[in-house]
Amino acid sequence: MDEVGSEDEGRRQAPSPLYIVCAPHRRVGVTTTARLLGDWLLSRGLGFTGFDADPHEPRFKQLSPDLVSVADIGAVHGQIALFDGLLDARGRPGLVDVWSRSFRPFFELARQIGFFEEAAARGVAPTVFFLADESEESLDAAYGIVDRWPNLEFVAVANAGAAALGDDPRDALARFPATDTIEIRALDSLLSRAIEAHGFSLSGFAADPPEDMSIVLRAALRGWLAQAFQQFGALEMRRLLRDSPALR
Amino acid sequence: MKPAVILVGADKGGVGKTTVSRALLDYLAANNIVARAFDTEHPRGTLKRFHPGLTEIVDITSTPDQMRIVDTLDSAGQKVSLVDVRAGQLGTSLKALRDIGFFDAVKAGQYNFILFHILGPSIASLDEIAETAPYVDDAHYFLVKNFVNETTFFEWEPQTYASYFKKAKHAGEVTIPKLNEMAYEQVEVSGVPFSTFVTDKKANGKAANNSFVLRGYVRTWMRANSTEFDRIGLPSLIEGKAPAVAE
Repeated sequence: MDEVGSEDEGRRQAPSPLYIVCAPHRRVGVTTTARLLGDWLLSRGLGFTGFDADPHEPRFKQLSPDLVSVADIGAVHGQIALFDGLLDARGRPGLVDVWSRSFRPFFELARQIGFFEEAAARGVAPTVFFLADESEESLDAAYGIVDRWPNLEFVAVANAGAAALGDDPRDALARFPATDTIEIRALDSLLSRAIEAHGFSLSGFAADPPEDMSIVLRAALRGWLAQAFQQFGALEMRRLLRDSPALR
Repeated sequence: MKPAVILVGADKGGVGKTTVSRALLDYLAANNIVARAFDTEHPRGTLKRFHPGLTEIVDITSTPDQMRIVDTLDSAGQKVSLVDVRAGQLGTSLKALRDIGFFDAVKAGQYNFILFHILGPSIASLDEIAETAPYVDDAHYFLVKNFVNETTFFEWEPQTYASYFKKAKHAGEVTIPKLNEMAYEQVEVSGVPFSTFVTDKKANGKAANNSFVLRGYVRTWMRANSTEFDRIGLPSLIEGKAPAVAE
């Protein structure tokens, strides 16, 4: 009877979100987006299980050393740590920063081992945050994912800070086959340096901005964070509404 | 029901005969083809370790064991009898089967006979083809390139290969792809059929908690094997029908 009870309980549990932040090219803002997502989760009192798939310069790991593990998916040990770790969510959100060189191996391995199918079976709900750029390769890569997994939540991200989508980022983003799109505003270079400082926490800043910081910088950073966090919140809300049995 | 005998062998050791036998047993089970197996690695038996419920260890050179295999083909109730021939005994086993009149019975249509000859990377394997050819006139004869242990077949020169290949009538080719080393080792350690490993079970049927990544590698590899065995029309050959695709 106990087993039946726990199974029912499992069925009632909300899916564990899994955020896969990725791009086929460098310098488009993958780690910035992963960091924002992580801090958005932290600002809501949620933890996350994070992975940085860049074993050479694991910037995401450096930014959140206690929550992020480095996983080299070029090695089987790393593959096990990453994919088995993401599936073993136990209700905790997963967040993975897939750097450009791991982009193709990540999705190829996911295809080979049936990762997204298994995630669905285990109540893990993945969302891909795809940092778009204006190249045809970027568009092809996006279509490659969406064609292979048409039911996957796929969010195309324009990162104005990276200016990777040319003069008209909205038009460029509209070409991508996404269930949703979001835009991350550019950050002043002074602020960019400030948030790159060792130990600087975006969620810590959101909760308790440092008093010794210039009011101008505080306001700018607060505005930048609020714009990103609101979009993440809106995405989550839209998903909840889409999945709500009451609204079907 | 006409019984079928599948012989898996090579004259060289370490070319993956037992791995191919295990892959075949999984494929047969997945296709609801009832099989039994004989492991001639007497007295140890690697195949028996992975498929203990359907494998007997035999010494194929001994008359009583030859009787255990051949005299029970009609009465055993299994459609397929798979024989995993130990290293160095392929020629001897084929000769023994000829001597007891098995090939005459195949020619007379009493049994179906399928031979999977596992090739190694060296030229010596090509000589094996020539030695095996006289015994396989009425067999469905497949030369298997087994890449599971990353064999490269680097010594093979295509023209030489083709000239040997022609010596064997009705010969077809089967390729077993490479399986990730760690996944392979994990199945070895688990000591269960590949199909059981994929379903994350132990030999006693309890949950095993194996890595999903490693199970994924094995699942993909099994799928590739299945495609290959489908390509050669193995179920049709076992039934004694013409294969859908030429061997």
